[in-house]
Amino acid sequence: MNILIVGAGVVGSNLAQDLSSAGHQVSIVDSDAQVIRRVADRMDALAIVGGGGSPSVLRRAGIEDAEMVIAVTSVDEVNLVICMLAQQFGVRHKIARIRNEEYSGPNCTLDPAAIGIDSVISPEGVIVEELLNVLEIPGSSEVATFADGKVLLVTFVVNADAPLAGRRLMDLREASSMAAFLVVALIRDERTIIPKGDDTIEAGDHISVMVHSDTLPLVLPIISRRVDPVRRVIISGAGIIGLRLARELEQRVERVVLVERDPQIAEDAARALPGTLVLNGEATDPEILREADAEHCDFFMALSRDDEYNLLSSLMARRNKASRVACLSTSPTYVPVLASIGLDVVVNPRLVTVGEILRYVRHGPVHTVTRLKESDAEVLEMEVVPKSRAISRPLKELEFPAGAILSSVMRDGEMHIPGGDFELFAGDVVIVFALPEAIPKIEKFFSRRRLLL
Amino acid sequence: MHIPSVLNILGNLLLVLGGTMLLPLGVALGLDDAGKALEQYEVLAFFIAIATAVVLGGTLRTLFELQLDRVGNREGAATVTFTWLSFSLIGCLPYVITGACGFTDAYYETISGFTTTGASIFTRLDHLPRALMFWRCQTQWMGGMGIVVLSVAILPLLGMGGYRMFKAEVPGGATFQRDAPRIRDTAKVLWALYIGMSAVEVGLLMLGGMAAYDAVCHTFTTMSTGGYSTSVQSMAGWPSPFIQWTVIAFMFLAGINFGIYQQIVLSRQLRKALQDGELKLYAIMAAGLTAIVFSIVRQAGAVDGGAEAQLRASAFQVVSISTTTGYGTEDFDQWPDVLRLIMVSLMFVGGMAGSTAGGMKLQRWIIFFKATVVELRRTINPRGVLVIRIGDRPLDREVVSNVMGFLAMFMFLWFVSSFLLTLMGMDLVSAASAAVSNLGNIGPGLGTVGPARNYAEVPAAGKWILVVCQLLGRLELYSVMVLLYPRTWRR
Repeated sequence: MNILIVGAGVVGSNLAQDLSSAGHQVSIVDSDAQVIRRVADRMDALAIVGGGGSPSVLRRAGIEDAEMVIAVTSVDEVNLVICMLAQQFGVRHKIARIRNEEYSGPNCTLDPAAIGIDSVISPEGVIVEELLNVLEIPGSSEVATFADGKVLLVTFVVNADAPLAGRRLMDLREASSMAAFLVVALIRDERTIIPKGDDTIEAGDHISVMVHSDTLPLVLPIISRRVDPVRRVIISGAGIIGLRLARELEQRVERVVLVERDPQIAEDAARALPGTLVLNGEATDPEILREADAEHCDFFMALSRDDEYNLLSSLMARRNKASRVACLSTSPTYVPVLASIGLDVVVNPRLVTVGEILRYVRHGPVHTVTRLKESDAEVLEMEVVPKSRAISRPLKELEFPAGAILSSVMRDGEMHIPGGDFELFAGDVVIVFALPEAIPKIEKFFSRRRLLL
Repeated sequence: MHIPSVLNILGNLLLVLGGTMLLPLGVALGLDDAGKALEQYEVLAFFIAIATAVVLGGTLRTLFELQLDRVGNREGAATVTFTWLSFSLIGCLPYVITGACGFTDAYYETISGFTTTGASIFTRLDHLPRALMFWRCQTQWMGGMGIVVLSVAILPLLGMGGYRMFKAEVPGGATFQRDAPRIRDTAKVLWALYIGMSAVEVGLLMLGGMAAYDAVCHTFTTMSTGGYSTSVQSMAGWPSPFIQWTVIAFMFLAGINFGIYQQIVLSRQLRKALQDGELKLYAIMAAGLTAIVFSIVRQAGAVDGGAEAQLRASAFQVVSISTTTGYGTEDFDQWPDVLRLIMVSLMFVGGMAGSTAGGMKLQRWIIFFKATVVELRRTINPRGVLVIRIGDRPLDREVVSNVMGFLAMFMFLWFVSSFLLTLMGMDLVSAASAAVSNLGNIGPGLGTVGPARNYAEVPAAGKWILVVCQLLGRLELYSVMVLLYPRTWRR
């Protein structure tokens, strides 16, 4: 596929890397010559210096032949203009990153579809939603939703006192006879494996569990002993994410404290948030942490733009006995490291953005693609098409690709966790957990059988 | 300070004054007050006053050039202050020419009218010709919504500089929130609402049996929360319960922020308008204090008559004082001390910001208490960024400090003027209550200036002090005081 990416920031350049290594023809445009030089050195892509809103620049970058345009510059308005231009050039898929809620929020006046935008990605919005999910599920470190929110993929940290610790998976399956959940991945020492029945869960592992949202409350006590609801939250950094999260949390939890080091930004935040205590100071300062009452805090969230500051303040909060800590990291390389030093949740804006875009790049009738943070694994939600090689035979007779697991099937709104005798039909929606090397095989497996292939 | 522009605008406004004085001139020509000695110079008096306003205004207008781009906040404050002073100067001519009283008394009576104070130096009113009495009430009606607001509404030339002057005059000062793009539109809407409500009140009073002339005069002084009456007994001269309840209702309505009516009538957001915190407090205070006063009045038997009469008397005095109107149906100076204290304390509160009422305004007290709470919270969270909110709207720090300064300055001015009045030989209670009553544009005080008495006995120098108090109070301190600050006058 010919893909044009405008904006070579964190999201743009990582996306270019991903797509280019997946075999797509990628062009990337940015107004900063230095950034473009770095991109050109690092990956196999056409890199062009110029303003993204200029038709001549876009033409030079090959917009006329592009099948997809991804506008991820730092300015919403520029992204909108790029998509409108792409519409004029006849580009099929147009994706824009829009941060401003007045353009893309639930009550927005602007209709992105009306100006030809197929998909609006708002990393901040997704992160806020995800953090809220994590906050509501005790002990979780990552939550992704599928099938319109009916199915959840929840990643937990296994503590030494957890009922699961030291148990084999097959024993677990017998214990919970109702088959309400499925362990799809085990992350140990920064490596992701798809567990088999005789694998043992150990303390310190991260496990990813596929579960129906209705049965989640029944499953929780088996996985984690800590089930206290979150009542006091401290947020560091009053950027877009911090501000939006605080606004949401004001309604849900007892106390929200927002720490911001810039006096003017702190002032603006205090004016915008009637139910939040805003403190002006460094989140790494013990005085400030004492004033924010970090000792009695259930969740500390370091959400500033500065990765190193986030890391340091997370560690300080952990030392001050904050019971759970979330840390925002814009650099993807930090993510595995941060998870390994005991931070409960690590959020990366790039990862949530990539999933949205991968949906369009993937073959077959893919509904959603979600990329997990602590590994490169993906969860694909797709529809089973007629004439697929996957249908009309029990699963055990099929050669399901290695490195992937068929975690659940949605049929008539019901969630099934398939066993060996399960048969797929056209129209089923499957949710597949796949390691990176298995993804092309999975796509092939679920696509239409062709005569010549 | 660009003085030519100030004088030019002043000239224009004086022409407006001349125009408004055609109304009492009409009354003088139309109504025959046979038997009143003062009547013979009535028409002449208004004629001279109008001629003075027109000649002076026309001269200023032609001699000085208006440079709209040079009309800033300083010019706005100066124009407003000088407008009020010169309006009172020309407005007092009819009293002097007809021989009703001397110059000091006439000036006091006129500025007391324009500032809607309603403090009077007349011990009797029956000798005054009706045109003069009409003018006396009309000054209050003009001053209630604001003479500059009126001029902004009718004079297109003030368009740009108008906002500066509007800000300097509108009750509530810094807490006023502008929402129409053109200030002239705001001014027009305010006056339209004002005239509309006045018309309704005239109708109701006439329905209650009041003569048309008295109904118009009392509407003038109710809607403006002024308090002048055509009877020396004030509203006690109309004992009809229907009339008195009507007046109570309209005093209450006049003490409400006109922005709220604008919201109800123009934007049709009744529910949202009623959510206003200041309005709730205003209503609760009126109801609660009426209940308290009523129970004490009933116990002490301070008012003759049945429960309804006592309730009406309680509600009337509470609403009259808290909206800074100053009408009376009872002499509350004869009531038990606790009620006298309540009445004087009410003088420090005033109506809502953006209403025609005077005083310190409820909104300022709300902000004061919220600021106090914030200071308490600051001791717990020394590094917290704490914001004061009115409804959903966060207040700028400048507004908060403006309000705190206002409250402190009001108290300080109250002390200074009380001190000067006692220095002239007034007794403490009379002096202190007269000072707050005039600063807050209420009218009656206690003692020698009590509801049943008047300001005739105050020494001449004391009257001039009270004139200054009234002007400071009506223009909310800053617009007047900024002119005493030398830097204002620098080029």
